[in-house]
Parts: sequence; C-alpha cells; structure tokens
Amino acid sequence: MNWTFALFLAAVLAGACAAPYVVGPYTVEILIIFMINLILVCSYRIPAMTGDWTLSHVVMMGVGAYTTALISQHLELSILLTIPLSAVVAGIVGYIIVLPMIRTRGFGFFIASFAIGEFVRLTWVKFRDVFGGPRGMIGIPNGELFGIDLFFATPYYFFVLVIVVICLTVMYRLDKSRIGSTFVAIYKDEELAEAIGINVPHYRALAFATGTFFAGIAGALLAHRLGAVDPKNFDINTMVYLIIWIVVGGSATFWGPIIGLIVMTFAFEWSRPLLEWRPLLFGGVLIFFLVFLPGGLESLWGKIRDRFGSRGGGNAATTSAPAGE
Amino acid sequence: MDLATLLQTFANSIVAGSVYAVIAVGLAMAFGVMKMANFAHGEFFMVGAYTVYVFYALMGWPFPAAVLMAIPVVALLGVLTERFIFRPTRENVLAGFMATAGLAFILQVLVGQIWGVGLMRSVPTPYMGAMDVAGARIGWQRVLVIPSAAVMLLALWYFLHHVKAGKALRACAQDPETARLQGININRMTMLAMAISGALAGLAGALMAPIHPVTPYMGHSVILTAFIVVVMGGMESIAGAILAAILLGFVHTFVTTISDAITAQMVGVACMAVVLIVRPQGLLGRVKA
Amino acid sequence: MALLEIRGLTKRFGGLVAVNNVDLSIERGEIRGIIGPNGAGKTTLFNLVSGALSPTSGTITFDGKVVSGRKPSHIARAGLVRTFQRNALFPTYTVLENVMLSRHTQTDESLLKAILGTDRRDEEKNLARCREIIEFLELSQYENDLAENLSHGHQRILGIANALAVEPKLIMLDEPVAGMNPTETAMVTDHIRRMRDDWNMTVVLVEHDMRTVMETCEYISVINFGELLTEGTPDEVSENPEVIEAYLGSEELEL
Repeated sequence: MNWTFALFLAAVLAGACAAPYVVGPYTVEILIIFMINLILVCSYRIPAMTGDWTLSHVVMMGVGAYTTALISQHLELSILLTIPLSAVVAGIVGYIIVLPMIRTRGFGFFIASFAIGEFVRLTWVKFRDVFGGPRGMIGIPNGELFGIDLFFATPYYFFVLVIVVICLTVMYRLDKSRIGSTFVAIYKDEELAEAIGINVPHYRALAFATGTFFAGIAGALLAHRLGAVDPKNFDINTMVYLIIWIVVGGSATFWGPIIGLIVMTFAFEWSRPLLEWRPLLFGGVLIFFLVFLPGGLESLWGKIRDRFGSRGGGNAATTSAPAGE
Repeated sequence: MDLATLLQTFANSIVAGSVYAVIAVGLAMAFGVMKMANFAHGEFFMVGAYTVYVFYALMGWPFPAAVLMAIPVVALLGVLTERFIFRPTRENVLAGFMATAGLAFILQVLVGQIWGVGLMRSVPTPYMGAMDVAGARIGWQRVLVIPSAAVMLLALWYFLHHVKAGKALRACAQDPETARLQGININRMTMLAMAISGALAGLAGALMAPIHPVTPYMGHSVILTAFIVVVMGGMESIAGAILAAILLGFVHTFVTTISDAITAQMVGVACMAVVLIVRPQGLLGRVKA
Repeated sequence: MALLEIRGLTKRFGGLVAVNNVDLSIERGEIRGIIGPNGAGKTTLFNLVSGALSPTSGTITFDGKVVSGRKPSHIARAGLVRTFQRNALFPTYTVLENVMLSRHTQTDESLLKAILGTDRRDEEKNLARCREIIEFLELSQYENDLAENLSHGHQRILGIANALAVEPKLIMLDEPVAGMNPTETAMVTDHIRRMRDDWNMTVVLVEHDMRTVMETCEYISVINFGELLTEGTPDEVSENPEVIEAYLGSEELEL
C-alpha cells in the first residue's frame, strides 16, 4: 500500500465520519443502505473470482435477514450477536446449497443457483407460521449498543460504518491473499489448477460459502434497519440490480464492484423523477455495458493507462467480464 | 381424490405440459444454436399475450387471427434481440443472458406504461362452454391448447427435418464450425433460431391470454419454469425439453391440486436439483467430450 | 517397492477397451519413456495415472499409497505431477507469478490466515525457490514477461516450471517437445536429464517423437492396442521386431 492510497483511504474515512453531520437525515438513510450494499456487492465477487457467477446471492442476504428476524422473535440477543449468528447461518446454508451446484459450471451454475435460490425463498412464503408467509416478518428491533438506541439514523450509521470497514478490510485481504490467488487460478484454468494440486470443488464451495457469509451480514444489517423482512425484497428483480452494479463497475479487481455501486447509487437517486420508467433505464444500462464495455468502468482505467504511458509487468486482469464457458 | 378430480387434474396436467413444452422448446432451440440463453423469454410470452389483448380484445379481430399476429410480432422481437444483444455477446453465454435480463426490464416497463400496470387486462374467453367427461369439466379454451401445441411442435419438427433452412439450423446447432465451412451463414441461422424461439413463446402467450391473468409481469412465473424444463431436458435437446415439460406439467398440476402452487414450484425446483446431481447433462442431453 | 506400481490397469469406454491389463513399475530415479503408435492408449494411460480418469479395474500405487480413482489434485499433492500437451499456464501473469501461483501445495493457506495476513510469511522462501526453478529451466531472463508473450517453446517449458513448483517426486511429461524446433528440443531433453541428475526426480516421458525418447530414456515401455507390448533399453526396443511392426503398421517409424 503506497502513501497516496493510504491518504486517499484516510480522506474517505474522514468524509464518512463527517457525513451524518453535514447531509440531511434522508441522505443518511441512503448512505446506510449504500454501505450495506457495499458489503453485498463486494461479497458477490468472492465466488466470482473462481468463475462462479450466482443468481442466489440476494436470497443468501435474505437468509441473514430472516435469521436476524427469527432470533429477535424468539431470543433477546444483542445486535453484536445476531449479526455474526446470521452470517454463520447464511454461510452454512450457502455451503449446503452449493454442494449440488458444484457439479455445474458457468451458465449451468448460474441457472442452478437461480432455481435453488428460488427454492430457499419459496420456503419463506410457504411456511407461514415460521417465516410469516408472503407478508414476511415485522417487529425486528433496531438494536441497542452500549445503551445507545440504534433506532436513530446517526448511531446506526456509525455502527454500520464500523462493520463495513471490518468486512471490506477482511475481503480486501482475502483478495490479496494466497487463497485469493488460488480462487483466481481456478477461474483461469480449472484443469491446470487441479494438476497443480488445487482441490477445485473444495475451493469453489469455500469461495461460495465465504461470499454468502458476508451476504448474511448485509442481510442482518438490513433487517435491523428496516425492522421487517419481506420475501419480495429478495427476489430475482433485486438480484438483477446487484448484477447491474457488478457489470457496470467490473469484477476484475476488488474496486470494480465498488465503483459500480457508487455510480449506480447516484444514478438511482437522480432518476427518481422517472418513477416507473426507471427499470427501463437500468435495463438499458445493463445491455449497454455488456455489449459495449464488458470489462465495466474499471477497465477504462487500464485503457487510459495503455494509451498514455507504458504498462508494467502487471497482474492486472484477474477476472475479466462475466465468466464464459 | 375422486375420479372427477383425478380426470380434471390429469387433463389440466396435459394442458400445462403442452404450454411448458412450446415455451421450453423455443428456449432450448435458441440455446442449441450458438448458446443464446434468453432471460427475456418469459417477457416474449407476455408480449404474445398482449398481442391478443390488443388485436382481439381491443380491436375486435377474430381470436385465431389475433393469435397468429403474435407470430410476426414476437418473431421480430426475437430477431432484434439476436442482432443487438446476442450477436455482440456471442463468445460469452452469461453476458447475453444478463443483457436479456435488462431487456426483460425494458419490455415490462414499456408494456406497463402503454397499457397500464395496475389491474390485469381482461381478455374475454372466445370459446365458452366446457367439455364434460365423467363429471370432470374442462373449459374448451383449455382443451384447445393441446391440439394447438401439438400442431406447433409437429410443424417445428417438419421444418427441422424436411425443410432446407431447418436442416441447416440443425447442422449449425450440432457443429457451428463445420456448418460454417459448408457455407451456412451463421448469423442468418442465429437470427432464424431467435425468430422461431420468439414465435413459439409468443404463440404460447397468445393462446394463454384468455385463461391466464395478463399483466406486464406475467413472464416472471414462466421463466423459472421454462429454465427448469430446459435444464432437466438437457439444455439443447428439443425432445428432452418436451419430455421434461410434460413431466413438470404433471408434477406442478398434481402438487398444486393436492397442496398449493408454492409447494408445486418448490417440488419443480427440487426435481431440477435432483437431475443436476444425478445426471448433470439432463434427461436426454449428451455428454460433451 | 517401486515408486510407481501399476497392476492390472484396465479402462473401458462402453465396449471399447482403451487400456487392457497393463502392469508397469517405475523405480525411483528412473527416466522412463512410454511410447506407442497413435491411438495405442498412451493418453488414456496418462489420464488414468494422473487421476483425470478413473480405472475400470486395477490399482495404481504411488510411493506406497493407492492413488487409483483419486482426484488429480490429490495425486498431485502426493507428489505425482503431470504436464499437458497444450500450453498449460496462466497467460495474463508473468513467468514468476505463474510459478508462484502453482506453489499452492507448498503453502498452508487458509481463510483464517488470509484474514490475519499471516499466509504470506513463507513467501520469501517460496519466492526464492520459484526463482531457483525458473533459473534451473533457464527462464530467468523472462521472469517478468507475461506468459502469453513467450515463444511456444518457452511456454511449454513454463508448463514444466509450473509442475516443478508442486515439488513432485515423479513428474509425468505429456509430449513435452511436440511442436518444438531442434534447439528447443535439445534444451528440454537437457532439462529432463538434469531434473533427475541434480534434483533426484523420477521422470516419465510419454512421447510420440521416437528420437527424443531414445536419446533421453534409459528404459522404455511400448504400448500397443492398449496393452504393454514390450519393455527394454532403447537398443532392445528399437531392434524388437514387434515394435518395428507396430510402428511400421502406422508408418511412423522415424529412427
């Protein structure tokens, strides 16, 4: 990590700490949701590093949210316990559902994750007594920490900020770690990865479960904030929005999904006056990027660098664009 | 379950199976030719239903004419999708699939803004009355679906096996490289495949318009079922898609009758998971070397 | 006991018997050649030993452990590593990064260590060893070049370097000189000999090119129609009428 980068991070963090005192309460709520989405979008990239793009990630976020709802309904636990518990449950559910999916790859995996995710989501609709059926569950407490009621936006904002910083640090380390390289090796050449001793199914399952673990954290944070969970919030439509963030930003580096989320959050807020026409805009954006800029916004950086000045040895491109077959 | 209910459920299963078959065969065909995976296939179905709504319910055309109008309308949609989405993303299946998810958004918004989002559009039933078999009553409109689906699938089979363009399409699905060397124009074939795929989805939607709630979001329930069928059948296998469609038609209808629609969906998904584990290449799929 | 023991190995594909009741035993420190005309079952044998295929019957014992039917990654961790006929490398990475990526088995990576940041502790040692491998295969001057920019010959040698990063006891080379010019071929045969002489490795060479096998190997097993035809020194094998006939039958004898 060089100095300019460290300075930049410090500036972002300082800005994030000052933000709730500068912007209005509505913007603080948006920033809370943005930070939760930040965990979601970064965690999506973990299985994608091995080449496994999924359509069940939002459902796994839902597993975290429903776990939080169930815990708060039946046990009175601190928010400091519900969040890790929800994450662990989401991680375990993720590990279980990925075992049959591991037999498929690429497009087959994508479709299988769609179907199995839908199965999980339908259990919430089906078992009314446990999960509240089509209307979901309500009455999830906002939580309390050291005597501070997290119902108010500003304390909850800082609570989420701390968790986001922890999660992103961990995921960043993962990206740069040996195990991160192993994931990418699987994406690059599965057969070669096996030949050099990488147990491919094991590591694909591990990457998937790690991704769902963090999605579970995002879900728990969301459930505590909204005070309710609804099966409709975790359907394929929401999933497509997640895909849009990733596609717009790119998935080759750790920063791609973050860029995509920032840009699309602005786009989402600015396009509020469009009302019902908004999905059309987002659908158009998705098509535009997949057709004309498949590497996402992050790939522009490389293109600019290529044009002005030389390129070093570069381990730049890890996962570029959605994994092909 | 008494005899009348059993018969009724049996008949409904065949109706559901026929519709699934027509929808899924279109999806499997597009996937077979250059791996075009269309997420907006359900929205093609929806546009077919709206075509009938516009020409039959609003403009007062005869019902069969309105149904036939769905062919050019949705086939054109298919061709445009091929040209502007699948062709530029050809080397990447997932990219085309995701991009058509964007197309699904666009079609939902357009249709919703033109004809309204709120209440479902009501399409009057053109063929009233019901067939009475041993106490089981099946509406004529439903009965009509079965021969219509059979005619469509037979026409498709004839086209693929006895018409030059159809044979070229099959050759292209089996081995695009060899087909290209034999002078078959791949771009024309992918376009043709998407036209047929769209026409089939549109026809299915058109036939279902009087008995299915017509809303901009009606494609949602269709797409998951269609993909379950195609994955179970073996992705590119048309025969596999038909077999899986009939199986799933029975599973869905019987489970819905015994339990409820959500359980039926869950059982359908579970069937697919089992097929993926036991036989990842699908019921009639081939193992790729 | 020999390092690699193959007993009664058979593989059927439907009605076709690709490998039929093959017995092979390869001692530590050998350079063994496995030859045979096209379609003789060499590739199937190779895939069975490396774990890409499961045998119909028979056992493969490596270093005292039964490995038949295990996954390729398991067999690689046991110390039996293969190379590929194709260019098996990570094209958008540099030569050094390639070899480091292939170092997976020599690290004790885990999620927890990744999070704590302690998984790079042995990295200095790994880096030194990877540089040693690169130097051994005379790729040092290309260390920071992208793998995709190397010449064909160097890409194939990088494939061997990736295999060596796993620290194999036995390395199984799949037609390592295919498509190479005579200079590159001489380089590879020299590397193979030094792997054994300097690094005490056992080498199995599955090769189509007769000259390379005759020059490099001390002992050769000949496969034809999925069965072991004969075994012996290069001189014995090249004078064996059955071998000459097998190769003449497919008009491939280039001695």
